[in-house]
Amino acid sequence: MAAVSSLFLIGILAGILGAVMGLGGGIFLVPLLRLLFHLTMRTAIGTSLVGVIATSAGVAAFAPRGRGADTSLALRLELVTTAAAIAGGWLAGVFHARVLEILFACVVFFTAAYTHFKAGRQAKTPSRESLFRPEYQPRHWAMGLSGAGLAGMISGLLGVGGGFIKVPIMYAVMDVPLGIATATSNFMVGITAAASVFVYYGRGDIYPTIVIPTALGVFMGAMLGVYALPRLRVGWVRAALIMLLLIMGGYMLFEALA
Amino acid sequence: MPFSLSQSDSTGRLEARMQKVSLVFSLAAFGLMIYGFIRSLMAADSLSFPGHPFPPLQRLILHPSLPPGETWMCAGVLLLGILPSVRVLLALWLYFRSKNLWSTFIALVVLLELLLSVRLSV
Repeated sequence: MAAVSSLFLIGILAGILGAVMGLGGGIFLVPLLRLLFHLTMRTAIGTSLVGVIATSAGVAAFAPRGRGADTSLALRLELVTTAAAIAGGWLAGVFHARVLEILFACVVFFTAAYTHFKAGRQAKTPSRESLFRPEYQPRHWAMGLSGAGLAGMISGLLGVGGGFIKVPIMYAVMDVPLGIATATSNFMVGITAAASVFVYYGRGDIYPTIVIPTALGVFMGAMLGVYALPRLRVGWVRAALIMLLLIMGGYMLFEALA
Repeated sequence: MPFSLSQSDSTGRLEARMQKVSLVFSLAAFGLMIYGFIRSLMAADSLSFPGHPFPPLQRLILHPSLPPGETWMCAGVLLLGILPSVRVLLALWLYFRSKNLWSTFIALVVLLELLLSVRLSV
């Protein structure tokens, strides 16, 4: 029962962070499950994918009206992302666990660097930019679709939603307002995770005693995150996130190389 | 011109329906999972950590003879797993009804990709 309670608490933490930062939460779940429960990489990834779907569902169900995803843009990008996620899910069964761990550590470090970079950018232009500007026209589709494909491949391989790639691609490359990019990414991570979760399911990497308390915790965490978001000090959350990512990335790299 | 259906639809019809579907499916899925989990706990037959994985879909369909608690948990996880596909299906239907054929086609392809991923797991 202690393990089940711990999984539930980890799920809540991942759900809150996933909802607050606009990510799926898999980037926290996989290393935490590996670190605390010594699960195999594929079991951690399969559990994380169900958690990512739970975050997406929780945010979609409880987000305030008028802050929704651009469904049309999401589906256009998902054409490539979903196909890449299926391929990634299949490839994960081919690669050695150590390769996945090193790749995961690199992705975690990249996410920490991106979060830090984004904080600097937002500090320079705090109020001139509208998060949810109603009229916009996405541009640079070739680059956008390429980035979406990369996000899908990483999602299938590593069990993360890929939101940390999708948000900057939509925001910085395709010129989509940041608020809409984050909401759209949240819609997309659920679809991308669903594309590879059945591959893991069929391979026997999803355990009920692990996935159910974790997913339930993530769902409740996402609900809390949606309600807590307007009341949180973003700077503190961001600093905590970067610290957490660096610790987990370092651990994954250490374990892969040790 | 706004880009998206969700932005251009003044009543936010798509967003509102997505929210309702997500809420209903999530609550149903977690209700099933919790019920199955409690039944398994009471029977104390399969809660050793990490226990054993869910059976493949093929076995579930052809030989549905799992312990009762596990069947409910499995149904809950599968219901949560198909929620993104249901959301795509809903978008497809609303695009079709608004005669937005290009978006209907794109939603259909994404849905087929998701169905392919389920097929690959069987």
